[in-house]
Amino acid sequence: MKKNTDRSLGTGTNAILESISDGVFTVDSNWRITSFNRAAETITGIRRREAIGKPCSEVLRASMCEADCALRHTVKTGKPIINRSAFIIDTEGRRIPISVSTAILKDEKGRVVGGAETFRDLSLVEELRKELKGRFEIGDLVSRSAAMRHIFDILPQIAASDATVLIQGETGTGKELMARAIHSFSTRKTKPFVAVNCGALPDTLLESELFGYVKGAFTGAAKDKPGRFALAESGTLFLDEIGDISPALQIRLLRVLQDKRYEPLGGTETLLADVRIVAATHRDLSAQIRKGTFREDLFYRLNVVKVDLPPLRKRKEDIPLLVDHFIARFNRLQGKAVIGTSSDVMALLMAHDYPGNVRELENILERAFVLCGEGNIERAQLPPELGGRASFSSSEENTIAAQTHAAEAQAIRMALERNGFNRLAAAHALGLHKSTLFRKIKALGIELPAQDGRSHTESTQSR
Amino acid sequence: MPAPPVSGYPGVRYTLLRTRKSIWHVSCYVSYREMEGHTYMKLALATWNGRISPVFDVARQVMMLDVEDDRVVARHEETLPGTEPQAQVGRLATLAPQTLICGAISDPLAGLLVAKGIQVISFISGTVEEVLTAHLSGTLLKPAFAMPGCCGRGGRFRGSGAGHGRGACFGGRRLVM
Repeated sequence: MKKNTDRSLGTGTNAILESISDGVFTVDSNWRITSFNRAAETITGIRRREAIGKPCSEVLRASMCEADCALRHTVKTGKPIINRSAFIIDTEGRRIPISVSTAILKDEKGRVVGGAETFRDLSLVEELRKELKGRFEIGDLVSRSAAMRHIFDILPQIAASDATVLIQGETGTGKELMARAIHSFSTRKTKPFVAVNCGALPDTLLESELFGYVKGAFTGAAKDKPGRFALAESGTLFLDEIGDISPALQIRLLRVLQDKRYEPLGGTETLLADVRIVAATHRDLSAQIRKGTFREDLFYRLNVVKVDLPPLRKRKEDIPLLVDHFIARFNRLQGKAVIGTSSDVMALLMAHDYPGNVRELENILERAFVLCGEGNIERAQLPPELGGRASFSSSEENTIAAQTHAAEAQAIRMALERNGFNRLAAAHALGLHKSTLFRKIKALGIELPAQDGRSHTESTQSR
Repeated sequence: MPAPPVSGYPGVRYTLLRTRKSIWHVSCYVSYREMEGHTYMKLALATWNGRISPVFDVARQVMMLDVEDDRVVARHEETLPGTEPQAQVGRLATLAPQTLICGAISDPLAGLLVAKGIQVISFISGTVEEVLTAHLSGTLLKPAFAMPGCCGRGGRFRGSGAGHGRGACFGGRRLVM
């Protein structure tokens, strides 16, 4: 049968089929394989002599064979199918992603004698896609930096355990997102996630908020109110800004963490708390312990697993990824068609220090979205403190001179900011003479604040 | 915590379910026929158009057979979701066969089934009746029922050695248990 097939295809066609990297096979009207090229052997792991004469579904073993066979569809309708995705199972039991295209096979007289199918191994593409997508995103967290990737790697294990987690990181680094990610990967994911900002409430209110109260506990307590511990039953309780709570409340919290028991305000009955605690703070708790404002025993109770979220300025390689992430999100939310940022906007975004971390970057982009509906985000749409001024007309923007001027202005502005607007110190930092700096400031039209920075630097030095 | 050991008598089958941390629910099933020395087996065959379904991962039909002393005493068709591996395993586990005979199956899915205590005889091809007869007569592991490329008839083309993963290759296909 194989010889017949080879003869019917002709030597030239055969040589072509043998040399291409896509798998190609043909079937007769009974769906039995009549030809099978070399790439098909490699992808499926089945030798040609084993494949010929067998039902194509048992040779290819594709996910679409049973319910939605592409070849059957083509033979029935006469319409070819191009690049339909599926997976096959090879002889080793591996799922191999493929794309399938089909066509009708006709003889010299134009009669339909079967079908032809080509398939392409997409394993590599799929692997790269996963590498790009999967590893840099967990929940709503996006990062490709080494420090964050380490956290991503251990996050499923952290989530799977029931241990208390302490998340430390500056404001805006995504502490709550991390807590939510831990909750969503844990066995408690179907149960509630309750977040409490301990810094936002006065002490007494926080106590009743956390533990709840019973009717008559205080004036105005007309009926029982369950606390956040009760609301988060079987789920996760996220205590944000844990470093801000008072010593008295620290003791009560310590008891809950130790014994998993608590009493609502004014209540006599002890309740059991089946709650996983995730705490977060932007403060350095070790320093607070040294100062005596945070209890050491509570710290060790909370610090079973510690996650340190690095600030954005220490993982600037994430900025382009985050910018893409936020642009895609705002496009989705606001129904806009922003493509990306212009190159000088990206340069400015990369140069910024982000004291407000990822939240600040998000706000900068949200502001830009107010002004920009489609195309690229331009410099004029950035806030002024980031250097968002349209100082060059668009026709000049792409010339070397304009680019040089923009870069110079940016460097001078940053040197001035770093040196408290002390011109002499900035000139030293830039390696310029002070009069050259003055000339450039004037020529580039850089605005300076009223104070010149000299007194500030002197006072700093005298200290 | 591993399941506590439960010893039994012929024909008495125990199932252990961990309901809470240290509480075990023990259910027992007594087959008088087995106590009398008969062998009993619940068999599942993934089918499609009268043949063994080519890919179990997406199979939507399964034939459930009650076999007593190598004789089929009852058979009926059941459906499978044919979507996610977890759903496929969950559905088959509720049907509770001791053995599944199927076509190609991805390794992780076979592992999940084995973890549920289901023996998997995979990479089998042929008509349902031929395969069933061969299984009952103990000749299913002949190369004639192997899917193309799965050992037998010149051996496996990709990979080396007779076995792969948890499975072992018996002339025709893999037996995973």
